[in-house]
Amino acid sequence: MSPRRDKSWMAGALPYLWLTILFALPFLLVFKLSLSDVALSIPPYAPQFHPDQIPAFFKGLDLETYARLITDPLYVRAWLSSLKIAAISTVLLVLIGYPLAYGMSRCSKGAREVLALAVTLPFFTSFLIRIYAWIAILKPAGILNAALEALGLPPAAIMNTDVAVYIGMVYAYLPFMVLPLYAVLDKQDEALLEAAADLGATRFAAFWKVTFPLSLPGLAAGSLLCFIPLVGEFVIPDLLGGSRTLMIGKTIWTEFFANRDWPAASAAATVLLVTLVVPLVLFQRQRRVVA
Amino acid sequence: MSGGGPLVRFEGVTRRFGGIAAVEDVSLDILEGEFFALLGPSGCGKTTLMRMLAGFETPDEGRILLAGEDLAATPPHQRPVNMMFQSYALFPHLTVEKNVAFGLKMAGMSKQAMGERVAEMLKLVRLESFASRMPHQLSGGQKQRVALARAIARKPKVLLLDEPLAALDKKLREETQFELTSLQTRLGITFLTVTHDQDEAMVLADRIGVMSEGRIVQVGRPAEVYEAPLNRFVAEFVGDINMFEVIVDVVDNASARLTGPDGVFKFVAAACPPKGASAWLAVRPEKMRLSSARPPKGAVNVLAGKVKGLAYVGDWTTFLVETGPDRVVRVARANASRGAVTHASGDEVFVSFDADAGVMLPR
Repeated sequence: MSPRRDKSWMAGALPYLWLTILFALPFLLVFKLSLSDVALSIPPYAPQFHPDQIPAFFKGLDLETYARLITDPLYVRAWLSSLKIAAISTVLLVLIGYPLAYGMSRCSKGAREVLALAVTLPFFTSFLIRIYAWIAILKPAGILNAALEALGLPPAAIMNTDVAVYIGMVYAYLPFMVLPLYAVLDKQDEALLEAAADLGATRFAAFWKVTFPLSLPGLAAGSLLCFIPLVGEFVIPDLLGGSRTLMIGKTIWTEFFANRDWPAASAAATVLLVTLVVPLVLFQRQRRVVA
Repeated sequence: MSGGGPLVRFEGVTRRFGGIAAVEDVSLDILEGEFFALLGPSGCGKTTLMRMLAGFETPDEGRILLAGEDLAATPPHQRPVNMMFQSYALFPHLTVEKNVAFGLKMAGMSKQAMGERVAEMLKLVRLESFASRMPHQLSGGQKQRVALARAIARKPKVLLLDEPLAALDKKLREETQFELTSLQTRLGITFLTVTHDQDEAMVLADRIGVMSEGRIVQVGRPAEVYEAPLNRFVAEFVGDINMFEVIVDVVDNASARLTGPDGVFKFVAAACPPKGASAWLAVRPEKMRLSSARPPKGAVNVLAGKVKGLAYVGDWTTFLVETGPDRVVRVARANASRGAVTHASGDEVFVSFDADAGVMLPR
């Protein structure tokens, strides 16, 4: 019998293979596109890759599109506005999600399981349908205004405003905030709270001195899990937001499909990715230092 | 140790969980300055009793008094007692120093006084150089000492120790036992410990309260509990013991003749049970003798048997002697000289003990 070869490296190679095929290669294509120029051709950019003209292909690549991105205030404004909307949404998500997750972790074991399932329940319905449901609620002749009218209150013009975008975003991303927070809060050792009480801490003090600092990893994970996709969110601002709601996701879509400016769209996407990856790397490093 | 009145008094305390009494009608006094151990098997209610003093459980019936005052209305964070948790419950996000300072900060102590007290406490547990470590960077023994320093930093009236040494290995446990007793003597704080380990209770405590099924079955000094157990449970839980089923046959002053399936025994004690009473004669293994030769005529309490097995533990050897069908007597002998294990499995031997070696327990 031949000696058995150690094949355990294969398990470790799998995620790298996955990331190469599903992330690195597509990203390289997008990055290459961002270095190209707009052209009246199919596909609408130049230079195009031909195996027999490789030096000419590389000569055709430049950073011109990026220069355009920086100088055109539209892109800068869209980028800043995206960060602002994502940041405000994340803060709202923390303010709503933390008490929710904390409340869940304080429930009895049976109730906790039911509540954790309830939090994930919206995933069983299509995301688009849930956003369309919000349109039905918020539109001028929608359910909300009907309810307000029945109560004798003036109607609210929420549809097609930033408020509608915030409502949609908080609603759609709440599970991503609650679940990581719940995971850390649920794991917390009950004896730590008893120790705090034993050492003279009121319930309030025990929360701020023990529970809250120990839940920070969950808070960070939940915030990143929400903030990152929120910055690039397209569907919610497109469906619920107005024409003045400016977000980079919408801008990229417009460049690709309305203006047929593939290089500009690719460059915007690249910038977006870089601005999101850098804080993530910093966060990971910070976590390694703590551990 | 100053001999004061009872510092802690449990008065008819009962605590039920789902209709089942974990602690049932316990009345107990703990004196000021003493080291008291609650000893019992797991599930006997000893931890629940201690947690009621800390305030983490509320008695369903009865009262708990601390220095004469009913604690019922005092929440845990206002009770002048501190607890060292079995898991230590150190705050994982705080340094050793901040863990120890936690209770002082909550008490609103000034920064300078706090720094001094923390330094003093860390010195007491010999962890001065570990002040800025995080709990996960400490060994089990070091964690235990941080937990101890944190609990005594507030100078509690009573220090509660929940299985304080259970997580330590044997060698460290023995060292720590002596440290705890010397610390208790130096600080003069009343210590209440909970343990299932009889050795630990005997080494640490001035007095032991043995618990079984939610009740206190005996309170006494370690030697009293060991030498004069009140019933079969205490006798068997604290140390090893041989039980002989007997009926009191003849009582003459302070001596009695007992008969039973194992033979006839002579028993001498200040108080003998009345004639006709059925009882247990209980004899500790180390109070029995073992010999190859038949003891001289006139010797009392002799049982003939065969060595069935032996357990050599270095300082002691315990012999299992079969004295009848399904009847095994345990005899322990100190290995006072080298090569002292005198009997081997299969040897025919005689077991004997003095008339005052045993105690009578109610049956």
